[in-house]
Amino acid sequence: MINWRSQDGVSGLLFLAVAVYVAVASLLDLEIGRLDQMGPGFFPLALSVILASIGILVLLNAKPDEDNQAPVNWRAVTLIGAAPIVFGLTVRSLGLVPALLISVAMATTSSKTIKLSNAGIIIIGVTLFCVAVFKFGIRVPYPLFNPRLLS
Amino acid sequence: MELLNDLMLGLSVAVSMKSLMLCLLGVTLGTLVGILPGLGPAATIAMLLPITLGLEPLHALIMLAGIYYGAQYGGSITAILVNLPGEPSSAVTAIDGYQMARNGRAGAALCIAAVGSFVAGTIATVVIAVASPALSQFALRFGAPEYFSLTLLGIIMVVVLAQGSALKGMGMAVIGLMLGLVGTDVFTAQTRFTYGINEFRSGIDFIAATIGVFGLAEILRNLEVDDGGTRRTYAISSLLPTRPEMKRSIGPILRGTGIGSILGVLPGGGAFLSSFASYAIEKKLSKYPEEFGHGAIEGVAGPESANNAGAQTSFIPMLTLGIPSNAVMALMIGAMIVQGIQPGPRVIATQPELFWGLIASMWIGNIILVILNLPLVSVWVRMLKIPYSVLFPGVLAICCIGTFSANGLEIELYILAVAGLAGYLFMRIGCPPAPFLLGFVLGPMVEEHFRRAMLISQGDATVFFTRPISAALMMLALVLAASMCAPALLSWRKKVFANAED
Repeated sequence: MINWRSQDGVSGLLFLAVAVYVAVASLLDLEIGRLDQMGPGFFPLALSVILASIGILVLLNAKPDEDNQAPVNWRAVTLIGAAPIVFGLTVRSLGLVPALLISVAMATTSSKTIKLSNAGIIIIGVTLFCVAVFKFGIRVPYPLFNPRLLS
Repeated sequence: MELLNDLMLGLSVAVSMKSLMLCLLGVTLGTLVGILPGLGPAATIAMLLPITLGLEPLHALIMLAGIYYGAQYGGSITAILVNLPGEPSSAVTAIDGYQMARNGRAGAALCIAAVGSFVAGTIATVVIAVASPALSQFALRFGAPEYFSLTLLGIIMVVVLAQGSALKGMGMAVIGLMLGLVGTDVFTAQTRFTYGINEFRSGIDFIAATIGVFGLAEILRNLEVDDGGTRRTYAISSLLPTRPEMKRSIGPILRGTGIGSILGVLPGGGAFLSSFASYAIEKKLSKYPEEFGHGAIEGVAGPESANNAGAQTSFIPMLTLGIPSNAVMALMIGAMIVQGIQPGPRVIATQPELFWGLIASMWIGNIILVILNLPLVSVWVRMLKIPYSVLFPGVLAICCIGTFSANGLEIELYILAVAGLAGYLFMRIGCPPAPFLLGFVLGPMVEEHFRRAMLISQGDATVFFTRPISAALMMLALVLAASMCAPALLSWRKKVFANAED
């Protein structure tokens, strides 16, 4: 019996899910064509057949996990995963410096070992470093602060 | 004589002020990431790709290459002084190097590691200079079927020879190939899997996806064990090895260089496999096998030479065939494409300055690294004390601003977030990310070669087996794929990689 929650179980299911999705999308939206006259859907469909077979093989050969992994740090996953999105939402509307400050602050709160006083130093230090390298070093054309925000 | 002229041309561009500065910057950064555990060369190169966009292609490649082989030097410092491989390829160095440090011979181990790496780097540079033009001449005769077979062989080799489950690696390669297909189909100009998002017409951005899968995912992995502690290091007394130590190192250094030079060329081989093979061989050949595991200098000299030689010769397939042999080479291919250079056998002929300049810079870089590593080693030792909790917010910030500065598109930051979470999921379920990156980079090329081959042969799929070169490559690929299931190879793989996890 396959343990669906083991590494192999999840991998196999993931492969199968991706394969089925790509196959259905290619069949619905793209022209498949023939071997001597391939349409844009031929290659994706062929790949999804291969991936599905690999997925089934992985499930058939599924073994229980050998070693226990450290538990997922969900706080870090949430905060680090959200940081680029927040950066993307703020970099134009607020400017480079606020976007950096917020995303670095999110990063520091994702580790339990950083003390509040240290966090302040890290946030300011990293922001200064990034501004120095990217704004004055390679001269990215984005304003440090949105000018409309200041006026 | 032609070789000498070419090397002179290379040296002339590699000693320009700008090339030297970027070489220095690259190897310094490389040493640094080699030293700091939790930050690998693949992640660093991905993060720095956006910065190199403003540079000339040669300068960009010089710097990125420096990070890769510089990391091989830096990795040995962490391995010897704290028994932690800063780099996977230094994992075996830690076995005997750390024991030497406990016996008060840390300085000698570091010195032999640096000298061995330098000798290996110098010889490997010559190997690249001699082998690459010949190989590219051969590859110039390749047509679409040969290229398809070659790429297939490359992917299968990476999957079989690299760490982790081969079957899952294959699946990851296919997923990478699929992701590479997003965008406009070159044959019909029809868009595929773009979901009406304009930015996806030219494909999923390479920079954002790789920074996510390597940089961001690595942070998440490291934060699982969230401790703010610093590491204890052993003191370095004298850097000079004793006369018997030197004598015992000569053989392992030369043999390690040979092993590394050969294994480095194989896709999936590179630095990692070379160091393991060298350690196993030295243990077998040594007159003092009982010392292995208790501070045998051969166990430092051999693997350290091998991993540096392997790191350098892994550039050969990348430069001559356009086939990346590991994740870092896939990033280099990506960097070339972003710079507007089509990788492949024509690079040497059309861009001689780029090719020979890069080779010459590798040798210069090795000289810089010896200077950086030996007299300045105490500076690097202080870096070892930086706790990860100070490091990763900076890494995250560079990931974000780097991705954004590449094209100035917010959507690429969203790709970054998704790729980071996906990369972390892959790690958790034991799916290796390197084949994924390889598939992603090669995806459009694989499809193009396949479809072109089919157009030429009018849909006759046997074309891959009727042309001699293609048939040989295909057979090799099939044999390798079949051998994945062979019990002998399986147990050999298990043995090799079991050592790696110690």
